[in-house]
Amino acid sequence: MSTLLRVDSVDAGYGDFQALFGIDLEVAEGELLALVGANGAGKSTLLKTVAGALKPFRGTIGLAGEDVTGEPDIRRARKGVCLVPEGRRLFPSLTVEENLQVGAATGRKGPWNLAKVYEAMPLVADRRTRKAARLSGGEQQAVAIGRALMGNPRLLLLDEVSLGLAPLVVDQLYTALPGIRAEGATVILVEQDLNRTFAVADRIACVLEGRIVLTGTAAGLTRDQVTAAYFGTGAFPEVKTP
Amino acid sequence: MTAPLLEVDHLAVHFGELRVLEDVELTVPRGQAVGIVGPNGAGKSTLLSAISGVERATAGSVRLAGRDVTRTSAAERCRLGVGRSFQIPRPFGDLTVFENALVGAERGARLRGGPAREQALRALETAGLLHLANKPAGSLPLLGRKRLELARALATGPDLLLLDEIAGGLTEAEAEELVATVLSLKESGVTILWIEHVVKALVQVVDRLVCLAYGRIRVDGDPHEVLASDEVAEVYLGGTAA
Repeated sequence: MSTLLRVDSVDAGYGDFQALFGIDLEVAEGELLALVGANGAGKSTLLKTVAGALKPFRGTIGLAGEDVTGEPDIRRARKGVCLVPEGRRLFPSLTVEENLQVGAATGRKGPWNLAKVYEAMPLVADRRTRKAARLSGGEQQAVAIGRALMGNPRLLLLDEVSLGLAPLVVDQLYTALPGIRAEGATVILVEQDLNRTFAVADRIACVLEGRIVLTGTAAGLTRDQVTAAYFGTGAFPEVKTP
Repeated sequence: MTAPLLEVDHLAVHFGELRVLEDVELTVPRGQAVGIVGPNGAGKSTLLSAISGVERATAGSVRLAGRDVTRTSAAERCRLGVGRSFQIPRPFGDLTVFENALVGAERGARLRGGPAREQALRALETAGLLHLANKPAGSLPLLGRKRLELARALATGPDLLLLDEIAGGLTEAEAEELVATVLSLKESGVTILWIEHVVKALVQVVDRLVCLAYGRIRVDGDPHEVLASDEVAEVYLGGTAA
């Protein structure tokens, strides 16, 4: 499989605060990579850096062989890098449907359109004419995911994907994931539920204090190894990327 | 006989045509911890808003320790002992973490000088934020902002603490710490109403569980019985009943 995303020696942060140290990461076309780690470990910062919402201090971001480090988020979005940000960030005065249409501004052709999003997420369909300001927190999260899909992502970045969603809706979402992947999207997601992570991910990368301390296939890693990497306790194997 | 700490009677909240809550009945005795679950858009956060005074009741009443506060402002209800954390954190970003808690102690608990500072510091300590006291609140990552929501509510010295999704996005270890914190608050005599999708954390704390759906209370009772009920499985938990 060809490499879609190559993160090379990336340092990143905010002002004089450095959140990421020497991140190296490769994601193959069609792969689903899960980032796990404690809060404040740098997972969201890494996603923002990949999306172009944050410029790294050092290092490069490559997309399908092309160096996009200097490109702003909107140009990366047109190339198919679509982020579901922490905090949802909907336009409160627009309706659900209008918010979804904003996602289509990437101008990318592909399988996703309003009908397809409504089919995949019935919760969103039920609210289509409602102003985003009048949505509950969980409904906002579902719309934010739909908006990213409307961009017909080649690389879909899902930050805290289940946050604020009822268990039934989380189930629906995870049920929709194989379909999203079958439509050609490569996915990087942040999820705190290890059982779900192991069930859906091809590969898992553990982030601890701004560094990737463990990577491996979901089948090749144990829960104990991942938990140890969370806390930085015990010896975990050298970084390996099978 | 003393009145229950909270009595919600025939409460309705409508936003124009949108009927978010209808005929909600909820009585909570002093010292009880009540969990609230329900599908996205059920009206859970709006119920907390109607109790804290952020949203006005369209019909029905809210009583605190026997006193009718239905027409009382949110600020006055806070001084009467209602503390609330928001699902989507709203810190004063340009103030420090300590100053944010101090606002709660001065405005909510009506303390001044040393006692206010002490109460603010205690709240930060309980919420696990003491080491970040002098950071600008706007610089906190999501977990920090959520902890600050809790700290600010605690600094007001609440008799009734309203918590809106504070466990989402936490690792298992972080969630365990949070459960211990909320349990200690309950043991200190605080009455708690807690909305949470992380059911595993919720059931470790609450004495009683309420399931809200489509703006009405559907099931109310022992947490394990409520979770085992067919209705809750159908509208909320889906296939993966906890």
